[in-house]
This record gives sequence, C-alpha cells and structure tokens, in this order.
Amino acid sequence: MMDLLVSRDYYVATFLLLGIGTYVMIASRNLVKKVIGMNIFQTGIFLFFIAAAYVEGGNPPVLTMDAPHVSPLPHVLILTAIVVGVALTAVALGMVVRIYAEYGTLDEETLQEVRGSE
Amino acid sequence: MAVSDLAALVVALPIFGSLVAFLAALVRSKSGWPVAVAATAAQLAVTVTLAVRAFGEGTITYVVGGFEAPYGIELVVDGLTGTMLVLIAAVSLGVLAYARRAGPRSNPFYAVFMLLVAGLTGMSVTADLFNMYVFLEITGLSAYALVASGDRGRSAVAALKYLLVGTVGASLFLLGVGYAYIDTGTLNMADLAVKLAANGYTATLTQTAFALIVVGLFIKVAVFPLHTWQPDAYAGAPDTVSGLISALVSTVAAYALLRVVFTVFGTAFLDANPFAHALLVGGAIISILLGSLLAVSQSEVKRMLAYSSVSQFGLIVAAISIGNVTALTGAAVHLVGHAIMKGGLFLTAGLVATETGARSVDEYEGLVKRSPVGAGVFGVLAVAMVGVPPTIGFAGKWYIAVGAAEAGSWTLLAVIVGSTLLTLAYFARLVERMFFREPTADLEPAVERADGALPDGGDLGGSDPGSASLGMYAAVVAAAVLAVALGFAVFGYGDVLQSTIEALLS
Amino acid sequence: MNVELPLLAFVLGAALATAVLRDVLGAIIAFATYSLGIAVVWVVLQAPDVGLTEAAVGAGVTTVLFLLTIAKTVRPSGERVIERLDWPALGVSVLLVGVLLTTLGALPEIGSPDTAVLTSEVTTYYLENAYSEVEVKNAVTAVLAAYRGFDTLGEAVVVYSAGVGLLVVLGKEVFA
Repeated sequence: MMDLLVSRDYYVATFLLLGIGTYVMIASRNLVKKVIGMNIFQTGIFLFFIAAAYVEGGNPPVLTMDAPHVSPLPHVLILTAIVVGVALTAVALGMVVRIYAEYGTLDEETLQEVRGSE
Repeated sequence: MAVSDLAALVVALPIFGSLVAFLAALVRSKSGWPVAVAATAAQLAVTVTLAVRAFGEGTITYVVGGFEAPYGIELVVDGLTGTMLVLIAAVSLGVLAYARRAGPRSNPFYAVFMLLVAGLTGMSVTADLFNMYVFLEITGLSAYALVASGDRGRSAVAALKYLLVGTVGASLFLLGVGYAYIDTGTLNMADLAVKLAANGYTATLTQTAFALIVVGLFIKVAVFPLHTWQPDAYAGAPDTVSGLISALVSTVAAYALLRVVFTVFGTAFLDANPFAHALLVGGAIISILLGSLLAVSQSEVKRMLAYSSVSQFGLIVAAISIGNVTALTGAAVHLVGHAIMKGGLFLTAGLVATETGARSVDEYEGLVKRSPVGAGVFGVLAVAMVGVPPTIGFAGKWYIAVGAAEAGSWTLLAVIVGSTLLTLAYFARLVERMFFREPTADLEPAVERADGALPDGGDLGGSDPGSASLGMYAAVVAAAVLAVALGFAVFGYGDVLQSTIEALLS
Repeated sequence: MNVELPLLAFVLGAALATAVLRDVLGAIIAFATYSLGIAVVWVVLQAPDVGLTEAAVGAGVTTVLFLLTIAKTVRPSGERVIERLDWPALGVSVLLVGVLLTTLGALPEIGSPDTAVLTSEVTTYYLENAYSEVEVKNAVTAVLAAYRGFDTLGEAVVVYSAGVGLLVVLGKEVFA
C-alpha cells in the first residue's frame, strides 16, 4: 500500500489537488476564492500530464542532451493548458469586478440576499 | 485549392472575421455587425460546399501543416460533421439578422460572436482529443463572455457560475483525455480507437477515461443533475445570446459526445462495459423526466425553455446509448431540429418581450392580440417541439423511438414516448394562455435595461421603443418555416447520412 | 528519500492554506506560493519550459490579476482567521479523491521507462525526427511550433478571446 502511494506520489498529489480545488470552489463564500479554487483544480490536472511524461534519470527533451529524454508531448499540451487557465481566470475576475460594481459585495450569501429583492 | 483545404478554412475564416470585426472599430464604432454578417455568409457558403462534398464523395481528411497523424493534428469531415458545420453557420446567420436591432452591438461583442462560431466549428472538425479540448475552451470562453454581455448584474452572476461549472466540465474532459493518453500514448481519435481496442476494453484506465470524458461533456451538454449552470445562463443572457447559445453550444457538445463515444471508444466498448451503458441511459432518463418536470414549474418563459433543453438533450443522450443506425440518425436529426426550434423559441421570446414586455408565463395571456406574429411563431415552434407530424421535431423523436424499438430498449422507448406528453404539458399551458385567454395586465414594452437586450444604454438608433425590426421578424419566421419544411426533407437526409453512421459504428 | 515528497508536501500545504485562510489577500499570497512550488515541481520533473511558463504566467500574471481584482473590489475583513469547515463540500471532495484513488493501481509507476507514453510511436517519432524535420534542438519547441501548431494557433486564439471577452464582460469599447 505504502509502496503504491510512493511510487505514484505525483498522481496521488494530483487527486488531492483536485479534491482541494473542488472544496475551495464549493465551500468558499467569497467569489475571488472560488476562482482560486478553479486554478488549483486545473493545476492538479497539469501535474497528471507532466508526471506521465517523466522517466527516471531522464533529461529534458532537448536533443543536445543525452538520452533518455522525457516525453515532449505532455509538456506541449500543458503549455497550452496553462495559457487557457490564465485566460479563464482573467475573464472570471472581470465578471467578479462587474458583480462587485453592481451589488457591492463578493460574498455569495449576501449576494443571494441582495438579488432576492431584485 | 483542394477540397480538403476547406476543412482548415472553416476554422480560420471565423477567426479572421473576428479580428476584422474587432479592428473595424478603428474605422467606425458599432461597425462589427456588417463584418460578422459577411464572414458568416462566407462561412455558410464554404460549409455547404464542404458538406455537399462530404456527402457525395465520402469523408474528407486534412492534415494540418502536412504533419501526418498521429504525429500531427488531423481534421476530418464526414456527413455528420458537415451537418454540424452548416447548422452552426446557418443558425449564426439567422441570429445575426435578429441581433442587428436587438443588440448588443459593440464591436467586441461581434468579435466574440465570431470566436464562438470558430470554437464550435473547430470542435466539430477536429479528429484529435487534445485539440478538441482547446476548441472546447475557446467555445466556453466566448460563451461565458457573451452571457455576461447583458448589462444587468444578473448576467454577470449567471456568467460567472457558467464559467466555474463549465471549466470543471472541460477540466474533467481533459483529465479523461489524460487517462486515455497514459493508456495509449496517442491523442488522435482513430489511432486511439485502435490502441484502446488492443489494450482490452475492460482496462481500468480505459474505463476511467470514458467516465471522465462523458461526465465532462455531460456538464457541457447540461445533462441532469449537471445542468445547474444552464437555466441561469440562458435566462440571464441577452435574448440574442440566449438564442445563439441555446441553439448551438449544447448541440455541439452533444455532437462531441457522440463523436468520442463512437469514434474513440466504439460500440464494442459499450457492449463490454455495462456501467458505461448505464451511465448514458441513466443520464438520458433522468434528464428527460426531471428536465420536463422542472420546465412545467417555471414562471419565467426563458427559464422554462432552458429546462426544456435539459429534457430534449436527454433524448439525444438516449439515442447515443441505443447506438444503432436508426437512433443515431435520429440524434443527428434532433440535434438540427432542436437547434432550430429552441433557438427560434428563444428569439421569439425576445421578440415578444420587445413588442409587449411579456416575459413570464402569466404575462403571455392573450398574447395573440398583442403580438400576432410572436404568438403564431411561438405556437408553431411549440407544436414542432412537442413532436407533431410533419415537423422536424416529430422526425427526430420518431427515428430515436424506432431505434429504441429495434434495439429492444423498452424502458427507453416508454420514456421517449412519455417525453412527448411531458413536452406537451409545459407548452400546452403557454399555448392555451396565448390563444384562449384575454389579456389581463397592461404591460409596457420592455426597452432599455428591463430586458437586458440593449446594453448600449437603450440606444435604439432613432427607432421607436418597443418596435421589432424586420430582421427580428425574419429570423423567427424562418425558424418556424424551417421547423416544418425540414420535416419533409428529413427522410431523404436520413438516407444520405446512412453511410456515415454505418462507418461510425463499424 | 529525495526532494519529491517534501516538495509535494509543501505544494499541498500551500493549496490547503488557500482553502482555510479566510482573508482573501492571505489566500492569494498562499496561491502565489503554491504556483511557485508547482513551477519547481515542473523543473524537478524535467519540464523546464513548463516551469518557466508557470512561474511567469501562473505565479506572475495570475497573482497580479488577483491582486488587481481585490484592489478594485474589497478585501473582506472578519474576526475569524480560519474558514469554518464546510461538511457537504468536504464530502464531495473526499468522494472525488476516493473514486480517483481507486484507479491508482492501474496507473503506471512514475518514471518507469516502459509506459505507453514513453514508448509510444508519437514520443519516439518526435525525439528522432524533430531535429531533422523542423531543425530545432528543443523537441518541445518543435512539437509546439510544427507538429501541433494547430493547438498553438488555438492557444493564440484563447488569449485573444480572453482580451475581447474581457471588453465584453466589462462593457468597454477600446477604440471608442
């Protein structure tokens, strides 16, 4: 059991990060913190891919370096995914700023009270 | 230019259109609309050419940059893809006709509008799972921003919820892709199909990949209970945007689900894994039943239409779970039919609100006197949605029901037939109010902020408040005409689609 | 024992801190720390390009965006330092982690040289042909710019859509 967890430690970390991200997204009443949770959720998945590319004793996939190389493909995918993540965060925070301008609060429950009287 | 180059052009064209629509503001403000119309009309021409070729000469394949799959990214257009491409372009053009008066009308709005077209088109043509994720996110980003383009706080709150839930959906999809990739070392759909089969369909990694991808796409399609973002987003968005995203975004996500389930995993996988089959059947039945029940209990017309979509996409998922030629033909027909009917209904709801201010079910009483066109079109589309022959709504359900009978899925058949009654339940109370009751309250035509449709501060360009434009009438009447006319064309379409679906299932 | 486990513990600790800290500024700082930790993880896993991007974009740009947001809105202050535990949310996330952990045994060992990812024809093809076909020594760059250039186009479109999307969300016209 311990052996399973240690030999796949990055995957375990991935799952835990997904769990923490989910918790922050659901439990936080503050909208900014929900967006932080979304970021943690996404980076958990990035870890999954980068860990899969790794080989023990491997070098970065630069051909001037000695073999073995880690796989370049997951790195490329995650470079794209990181940019997607930032784009989503920027748009989400834009919405947060607008919600604050409209209702004067970022607290989920206060927001519901204010909107209930709309 | 070779035909296959058109497969890349359909993605590039709307991106280019978006850039031009954005930069056109340098020349003149509020100049995005004509650019978007020109780009979408060109897109329609190209997609029709592509679809005709795909139906006539078979599947078209394009390797981006000349790097062969699985090393590079491949684009594939078969009959089903062609159908989606034409649908996306045609619906966008219809919505643009509506949008000219109804707004929003800033240049960035039309730039994002074109990006949505690009994202949906990319999701349809790609034959690479990670590339599909990228286009899923482009679609998502533009849809979130479009929902937030309404100027009320409600739009922003709905959009943020949509963004958070939608991102979780896309991320679960990506995690599923990760499992499939760790399992096989490839991302190309056709290559994955071969390698997953070689690994055996009951491998845990394959099963996990399937479950995560399906659940991720369920969120995007808005299958119950993962639909929570959808009613808020549809009801909170400006009318133009509700029409566009209700017609296309879930539709293309459902197409992606169909594509991944059959091209990547295949019928043999579903046969080997009862849990996978149960996941699809369960999602379908719960969506059909609870979506309809929630639709009956809504007091706001746009929310009712939104829950109706949850139920109608249950039918599509049911067709996917049945997985024979007849049911999948039904899925394709109903995807097209639902897009036209539901997009038309949302636009009509917007038209009615512009003319009379009515937005709730009760306010629709006696509507036929105040907005004869609105009530007439709404009536025709509602009848089509219920599935009365000879409309396209009937044709789609008919194919799916016959497919269920062929497969011996009697429970699903009962639910599908029952769904017609449930659909009748929520549309009947509206139709009855519109045609057979006297108007009660005097409502003011909704303009400016009240309807969220005019974020430019109620700038009506010198026209009378409360008047709908010719384009708005044309768009909704066209939807009603198509909902009936396509019902006649559908059986010929079913025949030409047959070879595509047989190839998909083999 | 090597650097792996302490590093992962640090990253997970920072992530947990964002969950428990009630003060939003505190959570943002914890998140920035977390991003830096993740960037180091990428370097340890021999992904220096990803590490660099994460440090610049994840820790840098994202943190700045968060800080700008609370500067434009409000930093809620309260007497409590630690968030109250939310049992339903905890239930959902424990369930998610539990379900995912059942797949752990099926995942290959990390660093094993004979996983499908490393032995696949796609990875081998890139490593063997990237230089001769694309004339770039860094295989990551070769795949990014050439083999999967279509993704990279998509990535550029994502950045552009975030820009115009923000204008739409905030209701602004740039050139007006």
